[in-house]
Amino acid sequence: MSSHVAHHFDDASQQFDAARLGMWIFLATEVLFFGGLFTGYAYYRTLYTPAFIEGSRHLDLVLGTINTAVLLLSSFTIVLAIRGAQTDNRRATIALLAATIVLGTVFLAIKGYEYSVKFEEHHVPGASFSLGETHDEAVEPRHVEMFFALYFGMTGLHAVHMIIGVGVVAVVCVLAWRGHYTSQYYTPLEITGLYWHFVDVVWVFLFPLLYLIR
Amino acid sequence: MSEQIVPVKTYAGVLAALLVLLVATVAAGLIEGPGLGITTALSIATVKAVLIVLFFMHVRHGSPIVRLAAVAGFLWLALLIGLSMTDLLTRDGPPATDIPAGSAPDASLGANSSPTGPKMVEQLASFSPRNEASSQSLIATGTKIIDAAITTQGAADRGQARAVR
Amino acid sequence: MNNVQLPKRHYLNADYNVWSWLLSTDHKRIGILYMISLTLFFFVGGAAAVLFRLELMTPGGDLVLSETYNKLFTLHGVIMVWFFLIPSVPTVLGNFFLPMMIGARDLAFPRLNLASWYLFVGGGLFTVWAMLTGGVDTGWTFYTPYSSTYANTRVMLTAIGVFVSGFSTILTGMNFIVTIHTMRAPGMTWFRLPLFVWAHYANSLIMVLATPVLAVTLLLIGMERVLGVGVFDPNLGGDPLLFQHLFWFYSHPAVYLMILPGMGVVSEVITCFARKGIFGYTFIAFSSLAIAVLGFLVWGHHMFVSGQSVLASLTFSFLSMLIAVPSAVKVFNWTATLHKGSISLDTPMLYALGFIGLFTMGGLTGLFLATLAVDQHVHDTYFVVAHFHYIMVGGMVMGYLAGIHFWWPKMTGRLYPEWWGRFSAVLIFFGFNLTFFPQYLLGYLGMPRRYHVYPDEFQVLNVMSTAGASILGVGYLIPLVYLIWSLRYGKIAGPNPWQATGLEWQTPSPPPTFNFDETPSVTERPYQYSPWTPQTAPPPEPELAAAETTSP
Repeated sequence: MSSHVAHHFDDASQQFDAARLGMWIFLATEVLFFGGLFTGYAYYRTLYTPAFIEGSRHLDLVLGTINTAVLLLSSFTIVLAIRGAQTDNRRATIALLAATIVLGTVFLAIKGYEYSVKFEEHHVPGASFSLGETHDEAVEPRHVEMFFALYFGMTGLHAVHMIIGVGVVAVVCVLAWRGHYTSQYYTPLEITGLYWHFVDVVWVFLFPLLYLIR
Repeated sequence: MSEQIVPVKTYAGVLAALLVLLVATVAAGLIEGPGLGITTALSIATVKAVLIVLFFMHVRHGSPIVRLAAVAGFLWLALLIGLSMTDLLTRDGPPATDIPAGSAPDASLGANSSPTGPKMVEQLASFSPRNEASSQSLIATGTKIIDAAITTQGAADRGQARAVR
Repeated sequence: MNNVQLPKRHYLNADYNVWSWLLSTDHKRIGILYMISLTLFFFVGGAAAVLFRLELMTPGGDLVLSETYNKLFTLHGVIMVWFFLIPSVPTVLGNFFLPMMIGARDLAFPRLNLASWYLFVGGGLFTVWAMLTGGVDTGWTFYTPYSSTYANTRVMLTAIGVFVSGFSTILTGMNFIVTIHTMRAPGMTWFRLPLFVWAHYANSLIMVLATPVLAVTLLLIGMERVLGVGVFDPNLGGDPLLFQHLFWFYSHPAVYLMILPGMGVVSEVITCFARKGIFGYTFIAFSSLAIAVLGFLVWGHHMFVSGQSVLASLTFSFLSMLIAVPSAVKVFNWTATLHKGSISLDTPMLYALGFIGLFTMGGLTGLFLATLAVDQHVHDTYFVVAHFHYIMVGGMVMGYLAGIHFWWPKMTGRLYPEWWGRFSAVLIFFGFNLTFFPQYLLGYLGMPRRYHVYPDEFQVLNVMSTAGASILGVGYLIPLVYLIWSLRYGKIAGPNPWQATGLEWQTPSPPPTFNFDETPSVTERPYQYSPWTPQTAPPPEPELAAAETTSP
C-alpha cells in the first residue's frame, strides 16, 4: 500500500486529505465558472420575466423530470461504488461504476434528443431563430431568444461536464476492475465521486430554473 | 484511511428524499403561479443540493476546512449575483438593453478607431439620463475625445482643429 | 574568494538533460522554468511599451497608425497582466520557496504544477502568436459589444490563449492552498508561517475564486462572436454592463493578484535588512485575507460612468474606500518595523523601500478614483494609467525584483554583484517616477488614455514620460545581464548569506532535490532577528515542539 504514497507525502492519510481538499477547491472554482451563467440568468430573467416564462413553456417538462431522476439515481450508484471499495467489495464497485456510466449516458442521450427537437423547431438562437406559436402574445421573440441562449449555454456547459464525468468514471472503472482500489486506497474513486455529485448539484438548480418557471 | 463507512440505508434514505423532493418541486411548479413558483422551486433545489453535499459528498464527516471550501464557492457566487443585481434593480430610466434592433451604435464606437463625433456623445449621455451632472461631464469628455479624433483622422487640417478648440 | 563551497549534489546538478527539466516535477525546477518564460514575456510586453512611448513623444500620429497603436497597447496590457504580473511572484518565488518555507519536500500536487506550467506557456505563446501576427485592438479589457461584434482583429484567438492560461492560474492557486493546509512541517503552526506564505494563501483564494468567472466571460464572448448568440449585444437584447460586471468581478480582485504576493516579499525583506522582528505580525497576516475578501466587493468602481445605478455606485465607492484600511495597515506596520531597526541598504531592501513608497502613492491616488465626483473628471484619463502603474509596476515589479535579488543566492548558490544591483535599483526607481508621475498630471489636465494623438500643450509631459521609460528600460536590462553573469562568476553565497531566519535558509544553497536532508522541526516564530534565532533553533523547552503538531 505504501506504493500509493508519493515521495513528498508522509503517509496515505495526508495524501487523501490533500486530494480531497484539492478537489473541493476545484469544485469551488466550478461553482463560479457556472456562476457567470447563473448571474446572466438572474440578470435577464429580471429584465424579461414574461419572455423567460414563455421560453420555459417550450421545454419538455417530462423529459426534464426523467433526466433529473436519472442523475439523482446515478449519484446514488456512484456513492455505493465508493462504499464497495471501502468494504473491499470489488465486484460491487465495478458493477455500480458501470451502472453510473449507463445512467450518465442515458442522461446525455435524452439531452441530445431534446436538443434535436429544439433544432427542428428553430428554437436555437442565432440567425434562423423563430419562436413559432406563443402562449403569451405580448412577449418579444428577441427576449425569448435570450432565454434559449442561456438554456443552451447552461445545459451545454453542463453536458460537457457530464461527458468528461462519464469518461473519468470509465477510467476508474477499468482501474477498479484491475484491482487498483482497496479499503486502504480509493482516493481517485472518492474524488471522482465528488466531481460527479457536483455535476448533479448543478443540474438540481438548472432544472427548476429552466423547466419549472412556467 | 480515516474515512467513515456510511450504511447503505442512509444513502437509500437520501435518494428517496431527493426523489420525493423532485416530485414535490414539479407538482409545485405546475400548481403555483410564476412569482411564487420560483421561490419554492429554488428553496426545494437548495434542500436537495444540501442533502447531496452533506451525505453523498461526505461533508457531514469532513474536516472544517472541507466544509469551508464547500461553502466558499456558493458564498462568492452570492456576492457576484448580489452586487450585480444591486445595480440592475436600482437603475432608474429605461434599461440600456431596450435599444430596438438595428439602432445600436455603429462599428466605430470601439476603443478609439475613429469615433463618429456627436452621435457618440449623444449615446454616451443617453446612458445616464437621470444624472444631469454626469451627462454634462460625459459630453465634456466626449468633446475632448472628438477633438483628439479629428486630429487623428484629419491630419488634413490640424491647424483648424486646434483653432476650434 | 572565501572558502565556502557549493554543495556537491543539489537540485540543479541532479540531472542535466533537457527532459529532466521539461518533465521535472520538482517545484524548484518548475519555478526556474517559469522565471525564464516570464522574462521572455516581460520583454515582449516591454517592447510594445517602447514603441507606443516613442509614438507619444509627438502630438501627431507620426510613427504608427491608430490601428497599430491600439494593437500595441492591447499587446502590452494583455501580456503584462496575464503573462507577467499575475504569475510573477507566485509562480517563480512562490513555487520555489513556499514549500521550503513551510518545511515540505514539494507542493501537494507536483504533476499538476508541471501541467500548470505547460498550460501557461502554451496559452502564452498562443496569445503572443495571435497578437503579433494579427493583433487585437480591444484593449486588455475586451469590452463588449466592441470585442464581440465589431472588432475585426484576433479577439477570439487571444481570448482562447488567456482562457487556457487561466486554468494554469487556478491550478496553481489550488496547489498552494492545499500545500499550506496539509504539508506544513512539524511545529509549523499557522502563526509561525512567514508572512510570504500568508500573502500567498490570500492570493491563492483570489486565484481560485475569481479566475473561473473570467473563463466563463470569455466563453460568452466566444458564443456571441462566433455563433452570433447574443448575451451582451444590445442589438440582440443583451446588456453590455453585464459583461462589465462579470469582467470586473474577476479583474478587480486580479489587481490584488498583482500586489499581494509582492507584499509578502516585502515583509520578508524589510525584517531581514532592518534586523528586526515584524511589527504587528497578526495584523499583516489578517490584512492579507481582508484584502482578498474585500477585493471582491469593489469591482463597480470601474463602472462609475458606465450607466450603473447611482445606488450601486455609492455602494461600490464606499466599499472601495474600505479596502484602503487593510492596505494602510500593512504600510504602517512595515514603517513601524523599520523604526529603530539596524537598516542596511542592500539591493533587495532598496527595492522593498521603493515598493512601499510607490505603492503608497498608487494606493492614495486610488482613493481619489474611488470618489464618485473625482472619478467623473479623471475616468479613462492618464491619471488612471499612472495610478495602476504605481501599483503594478511600482508595487509588483519592485516586489518581484526585491524577491529575485533576496533569494537569488538560494536559487543559484551565487551572489549577484551588489554595486550593480544597487545602481539598477536606484535607476529603476528614478526612471519609473519620471515615466509615470507626469502621467498623473496629464490625466488631471484631461488627456484621455488610449489615444496616440493629443493636443500640443501635453507634449512636454509626454516627452518626460518617454524619457523616463527609456531609463526604466535600461534599468530592467542591467539586472538581466548581471544576474546571468553571476551564474558563472558570482561569489559563492553559502547557505545563509543574509543571516535570515526562515526555513529556506537552513538548507544548503542551492537546495538538494527534496529541499531538506531531514524534515525540519519548527520551534520558533519567524523574523527573530535580535537576537538572531532561526525558526529551527533548538527549543528552550523540549516538549514545546511535540505539543504542536500540524493539523489541516
